Amino acid sequence: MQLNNYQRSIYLIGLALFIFTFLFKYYTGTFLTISKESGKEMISFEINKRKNDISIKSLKASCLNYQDVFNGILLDFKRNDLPCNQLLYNEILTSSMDSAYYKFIEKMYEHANFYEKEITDTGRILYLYQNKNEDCVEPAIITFVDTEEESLIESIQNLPNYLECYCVLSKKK
Amino acid sequence: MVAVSCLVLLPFVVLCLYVAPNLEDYAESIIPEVLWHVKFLYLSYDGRFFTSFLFAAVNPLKSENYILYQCLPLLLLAGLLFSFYQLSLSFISRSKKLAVLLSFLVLLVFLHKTPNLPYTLYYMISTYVYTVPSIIFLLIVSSSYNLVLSKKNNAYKLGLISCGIFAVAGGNELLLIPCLVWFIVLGFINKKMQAKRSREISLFFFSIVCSYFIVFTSPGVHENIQTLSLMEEVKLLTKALHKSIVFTLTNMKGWVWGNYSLYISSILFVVLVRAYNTSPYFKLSWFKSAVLVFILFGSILFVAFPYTWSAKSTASASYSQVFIVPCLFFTLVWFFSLFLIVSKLSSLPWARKPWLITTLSILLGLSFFLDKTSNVYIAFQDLVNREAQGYHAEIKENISKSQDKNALLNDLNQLELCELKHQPRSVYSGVYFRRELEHFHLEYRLYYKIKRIKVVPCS
Repeated sequence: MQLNNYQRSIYLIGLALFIFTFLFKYYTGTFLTISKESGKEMISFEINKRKNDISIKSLKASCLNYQDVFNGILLDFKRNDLPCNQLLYNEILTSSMDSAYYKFIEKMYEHANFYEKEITDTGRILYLYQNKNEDCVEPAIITFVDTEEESLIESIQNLPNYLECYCVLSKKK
Repeated sequence: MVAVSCLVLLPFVVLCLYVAPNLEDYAESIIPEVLWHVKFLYLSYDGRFFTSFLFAAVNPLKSENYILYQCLPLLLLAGLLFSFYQLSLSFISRSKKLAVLLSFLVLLVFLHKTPNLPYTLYYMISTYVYTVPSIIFLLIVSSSYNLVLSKKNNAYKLGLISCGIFAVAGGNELLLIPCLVWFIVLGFINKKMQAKRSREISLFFFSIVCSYFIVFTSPGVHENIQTLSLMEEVKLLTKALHKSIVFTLTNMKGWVWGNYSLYISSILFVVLVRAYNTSPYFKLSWFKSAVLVFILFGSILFVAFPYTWSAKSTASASYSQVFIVPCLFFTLVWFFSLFLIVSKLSSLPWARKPWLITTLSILLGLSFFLDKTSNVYIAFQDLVNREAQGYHAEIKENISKSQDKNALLNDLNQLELCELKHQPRSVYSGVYFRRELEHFHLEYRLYYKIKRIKVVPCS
């Protein structure tokens, strides 16, 4: 059957719309489930957005491999050769990207493959996951609540003894 | 009548001078790249890809252009007027003069009762969600109708309509039901009039399928959907349908009951249609007209369904912005039904008196200003009481403090910004510095590159 120009253009428009749909899903990486790359992109966007934010209301991280997170932090601090915990805590008070607080958050983001967010009356809460619903027997959760800086410091002071270990190592050196 | 319409519209136009960005506007203005902005919102919030595109690409705040921000309501008013004009030309009369008069009439009646005026005209983020997709949809309705009835083939127009369907689908899911209803009706018209446009109709449905596929497969949408059993799903669906009907009927009661402006405008509409001797292009029997009116009014009851379904138990009739779209369709269907009725009546000699249009127009204008629930009255009051001016001054002060790199900080190194004392109902969206909206502070600080802010009452 011979198609005239107009009929041909109807099919071409249909094809163009189909291609647009395909390209959109491809670009967003959301064919079946959200792709790992898109998830990572979102995470890095969230961390970049918060680079200069010292008033994160609450950050929860569960199912993250804390050993990896802390090892990462310790490695960074080893490179900078910080003398002890005290200085680490003092740094938290600064809004600099190099503060321990940011290093900690950054590492958590680095090890996260998924994130969820919840908007509550008191603010936005981010949940970070390494393996969502998998291999998560005892999820560890760290929560920074309130905007007060003391609360943040307290939260970090309550971390397991990893930082102390670092200080010990540092002293040995 | 045009003079009266312009007088009634004047407060809405003057209010543009006092429009100022609210917190969510800033939240959508901190991502510089257009494509990433669309992708980010698609991945994290919802499937409204076209709205996201507007946030990203047609956002004067990205260049800190506050004057252009104030011009947006004017563009929306012009857009609404133009879409009503096109509808009048397509469905009622080829007379351009009558189309102008009718479009002014419909615009006034819609603005008079729109459930949330700031969200309809003055709050950029919201207008991109509710008003812009609605305007595009109305333009699609008139152009697709003309295309089907036209004897000429126009591939360019066909492409534009198909892209328009994508814009509507990616604009607001509330337009899903109207979109489906319209194209089913168009299919029926095509068959009835033997227009032989089946290929075009198929293309429109194909566009609907593709565009809503993008919308409903958004990860942002899926994050909010819980996996339920079939029985629970059915229960949820029934409840959502029930809520959509009840909420819309509640709103409809308010749009009709005691709405004297609607009654006067209906008489004026009848007089205008009769004065221009207009008869419909299509002849429908009383029964078919009644069925069409029933379908149109019935479909309005389901427009809010996507909202009641997604909001589940939190869905409420007081979430007024959702009912902007049903209100718009209600106004249009109301006048279209009147047109169908009038065209059935043999003759109305009283309707041909020339002084009648002037008298009714003046009465209509007065009825807007005398009704305390009317948005026209509220807009006028906000200007007279200087609420709008005060609101603009307060926000302007916050903006200049935020822009000033040498602004004075308090003892805790915080920039003190003020909570609004003036909150004009016609312009203020409610999304500004308030305790329960602290989650938007981050975006505001990022926009103006401020480290810390403290919100205090305005002096």
